[in-house]
Amino acid sequence: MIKKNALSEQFAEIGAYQELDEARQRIEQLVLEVTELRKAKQEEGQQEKLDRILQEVGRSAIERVLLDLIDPNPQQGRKTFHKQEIASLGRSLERDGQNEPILTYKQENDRHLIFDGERRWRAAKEIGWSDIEVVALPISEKILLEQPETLRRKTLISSRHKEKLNALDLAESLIAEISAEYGISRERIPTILNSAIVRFNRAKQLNRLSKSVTHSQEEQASDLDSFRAENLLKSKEESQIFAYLLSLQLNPASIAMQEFQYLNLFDDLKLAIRELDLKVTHAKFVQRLTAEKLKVSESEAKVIRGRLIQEIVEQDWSIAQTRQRVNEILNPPQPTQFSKEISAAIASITKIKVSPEEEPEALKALETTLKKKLKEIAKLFNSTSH
Amino acid sequence: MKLDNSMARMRIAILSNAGGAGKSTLAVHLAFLLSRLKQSVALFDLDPQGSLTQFTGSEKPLPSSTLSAILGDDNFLGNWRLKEVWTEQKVSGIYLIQGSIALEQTARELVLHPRGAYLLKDLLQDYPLNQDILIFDCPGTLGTLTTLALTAATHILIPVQLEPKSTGGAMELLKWLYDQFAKLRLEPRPKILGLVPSQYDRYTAIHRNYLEQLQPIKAQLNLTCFPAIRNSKEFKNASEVGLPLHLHRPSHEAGGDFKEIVSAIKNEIERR
Repeated sequence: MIKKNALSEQFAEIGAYQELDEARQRIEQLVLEVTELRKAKQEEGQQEKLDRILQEVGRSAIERVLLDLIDPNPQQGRKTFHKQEIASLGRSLERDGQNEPILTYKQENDRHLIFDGERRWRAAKEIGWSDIEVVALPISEKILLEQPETLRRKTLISSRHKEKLNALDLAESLIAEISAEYGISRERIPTILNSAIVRFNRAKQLNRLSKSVTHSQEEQASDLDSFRAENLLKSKEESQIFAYLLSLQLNPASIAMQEFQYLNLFDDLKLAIRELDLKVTHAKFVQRLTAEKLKVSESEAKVIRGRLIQEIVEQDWSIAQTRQRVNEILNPPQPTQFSKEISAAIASITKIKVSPEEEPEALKALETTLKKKLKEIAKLFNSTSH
Repeated sequence: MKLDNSMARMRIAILSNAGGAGKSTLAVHLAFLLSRLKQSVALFDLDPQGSLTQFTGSEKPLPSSTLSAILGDDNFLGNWRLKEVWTEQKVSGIYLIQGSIALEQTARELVLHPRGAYLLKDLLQDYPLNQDILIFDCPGTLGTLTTLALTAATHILIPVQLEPKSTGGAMELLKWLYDQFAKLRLEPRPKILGLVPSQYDRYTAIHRNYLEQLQPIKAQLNLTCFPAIRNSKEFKNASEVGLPLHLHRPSHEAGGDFKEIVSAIKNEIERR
């Protein structure tokens, strides 16, 4: 029996995608119109359109970007900026703050190209601001082709801010994207990457790999060609994974040795990383507390891990403290072994049945011996004050 | 930069998120019916399985006569490897560019090409075809080859089987499309002509149920759901002999199932 209206739930979700796409189209259209007005050197009407762009994009899209990462747009009209104008704008920024974000296009290396707001950008620099509020615009093929500076697509396509994701989220999203892009099954991706990195390591080429990270797209393509020619990369899948990571300016070796390591963390640890702010580095130690090593059931192991996580987070333990505690849990101090003699004596004394059946003479003799020994022990304890 | 004047009037991509949804069937039948309306058609087989070769009764192509040869040709000068089909049946104006397993390699290589996703579109722009309508038959996955068709298309048709996996896949496909429109900066967006329920058996409750559930898609998402193409073994028989149903069994009712789709395409041609 199929759920009634199973599809109509999905329609609603698709509707949201449609609306988002329609908003994008409106923005693209407005950006085109403003560009046309600028070409025609027509001031009138520009501001209204710029305002509408901001409305469409919404306040949620505002980010703070370092002034140093923003470039003026050589293709745009107005080129003279009078000192007094900038100074006065600077004063008003200081007094009232920034009312509206400037509009930019994203470029390679996380740089931005100004679409609107160069005066505010210059003014902000004059008054010594370090960053400024920005809205980065979605752009279309048409605009792209007219502005060759914006041609680096792959960086633009990734709308995530890589540095804002923790290692775990980054790892998971990379796996998902690589799997979707190339059809490689998710479980195999870290293994494939690892064998390639091991090969690079053995051939002492890891340095070369790190240099490749900051190369341009064309240079990266030719780097990959060389790697393949030198048999450093042996399969198409290895090439694809490398190409993808490099295009996002991520070092495949770091990803393999750090981020992808976190994929194997237990679910309860991943949850703690996300919700309780457990640091990924600490989580790696807690991961050692497996049910096997602890010799308990899965659920008990989870409880033990949970308790430890709580301590780590609440008391803000350092890595060293975490590591030490994990070791203690895994290797509890052994109870001291008694000497063979004493252990045997304790054992036989414990075994003796004290009952009316025993010969009273024998029990009396045992009592005397024990009392004597007790006196000796007490004397020793008193003198060494245990 | 005006792009459309030099390119074919309509370029229809047939996409689905599942194999066996009826893409190739739809492709060859639309091609045939459009040629009856005096439109010349070029079929592009973007599927490594190359089913259009079978469906048109064509010979297995030489590697150099395939779409992958075109896409991999750094010195392409417009030799489109068009093969006219159904000429024995006195049909004219329908051409095929055949697919092959080599397309899988092509897909992998395109990833490393700076304009990989736009390659087909770029070639069509630089070396325009003379045919009125281009139909891109895509593989049943949302990967590089499908993207290639998407960037080159003006219109999209989505065949969907009325089974849970296929309809779910179609919903995912729609979301993917809206995402891709932005990612690929498609300007203008290809128009989604609609969904084409395929292999419909009205005696199967699940089919009836899903067909009913798809109907509100017009009201809710402004997407057309065309009348279903029925499940008929005659379609299979026709494909086995490499003919459209209309040539294999001219009087068979199922041939009329495409009427609305052809009508919609005709309207689009007239609007342009």
